[in-house]
Amino acid sequence: MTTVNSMPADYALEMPGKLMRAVSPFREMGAYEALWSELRASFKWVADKFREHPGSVPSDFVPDEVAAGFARKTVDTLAAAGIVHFGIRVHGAGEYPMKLRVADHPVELMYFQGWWDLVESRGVAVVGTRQPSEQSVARTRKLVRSLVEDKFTVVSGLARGIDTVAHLTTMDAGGRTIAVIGTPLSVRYPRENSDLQDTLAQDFLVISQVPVIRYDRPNPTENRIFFPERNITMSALTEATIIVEAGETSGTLVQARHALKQKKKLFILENNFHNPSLKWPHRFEQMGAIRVRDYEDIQKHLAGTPLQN
Amino acid sequence: MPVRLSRIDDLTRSDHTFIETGDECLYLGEYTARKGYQFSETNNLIFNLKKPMDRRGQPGWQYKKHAIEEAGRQMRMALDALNPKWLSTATLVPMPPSKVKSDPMYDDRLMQMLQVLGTGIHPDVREMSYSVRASRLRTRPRFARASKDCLPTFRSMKLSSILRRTRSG
Repeated sequence: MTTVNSMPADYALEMPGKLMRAVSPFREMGAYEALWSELRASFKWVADKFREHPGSVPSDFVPDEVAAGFARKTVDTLAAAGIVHFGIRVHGAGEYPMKLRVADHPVELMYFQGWWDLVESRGVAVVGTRQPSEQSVARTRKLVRSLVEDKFTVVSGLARGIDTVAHLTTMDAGGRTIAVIGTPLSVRYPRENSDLQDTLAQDFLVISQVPVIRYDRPNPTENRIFFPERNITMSALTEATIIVEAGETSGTLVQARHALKQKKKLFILENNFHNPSLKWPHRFEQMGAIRVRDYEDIQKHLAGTPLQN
Repeated sequence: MPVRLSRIDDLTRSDHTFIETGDECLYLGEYTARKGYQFSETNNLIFNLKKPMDRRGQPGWQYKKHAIEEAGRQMRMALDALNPKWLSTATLVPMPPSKVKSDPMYDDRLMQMLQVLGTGIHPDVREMSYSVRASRLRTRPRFARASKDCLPTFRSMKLSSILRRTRSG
């Protein structure tokens, strides 16, 4: 059993001149986990630390021995969940996707399983309600097949409903898909998608910004903060977000709001405008979202030769 | 802000067949195989850097020179960020090209890169090893070989000269 030391409360950032250590993934992972172990930690709190000290990495804020303890605990926790092969990306080191920096509180470190190179392909997020109508399921399938035909990588959140249909249809159509999940890699959620998560991790790409140790805290309601943040990251990773169906209070609308804020294209399928109980489609259309009557409406806005895939 | 060097450590060592515990290996970027030059900035840099010598004079040859300069510049920034004094005391030894010097395909891109890297400092750069016969080394994993297996192919200078240099530095 690994003992994890808590971080000394008075530990302050000490950057010796402007020297920058090489990025050691093990140490950075532990330091990121240690930062998140702070009671007050949130994505904003973490991002503010890095904004105050541009060019820093997690280990600049955490003593090495503390980072090492958290790193060991993280590896143990992931191993206990059957995850041995995974990677991390750190802002400031090579291959970190700079497109993430458009987010309000861009993540400094993320975990992944699978084929990282998918991040460099042209991605479009397909998202929506966890309880879709049959028509929305059919629309998602049709939409995803068209995106795959146009060589786009379909990005979604592995949730029930539209997300699941998006991932499964992409695989069925022979396309590529990325899951940006709202749990740590060590947690398979929802349970019925456990096999799907493993398949995506094996054959495609699963990304998580959620700290492994923090997530294990006794109060699970705290973990709700991670779902909307993953939607913001999903928008930042992709060229556009397409909403198939969403309720007035859906978490999907977080992604809609941030897609526009990040100057990404936001597409809303026509059916949403015909539901008299929904105000959000009209509101977002006024803010710049694109109303989609058929796939050509998406295609003409995503014109351009896809990168070599 | 320079890109930081990354270190192969306990988390990533298992991805590399011939790197063992205790080996110190730092790198700037990751090349993604079979994806072409358009795939990422790193792929673009590596593709241009490795452009074969028989393309000299053809369209696009100028990108090789740019890539050599860019790689040297990036490495210099990353090393200076790590420790601005290190370069002035270090001995830099480029991996030898796979071709012998008399071969038309002989490519000294790494030596050129080190010249850019050392601008204004003139660090100790030595071709400690050089090919004495055509090598069949490849970079793809199934062809990769441990450094000790390469020794018969390369002739090395005496280690004592490195040690002296290190001590005096």
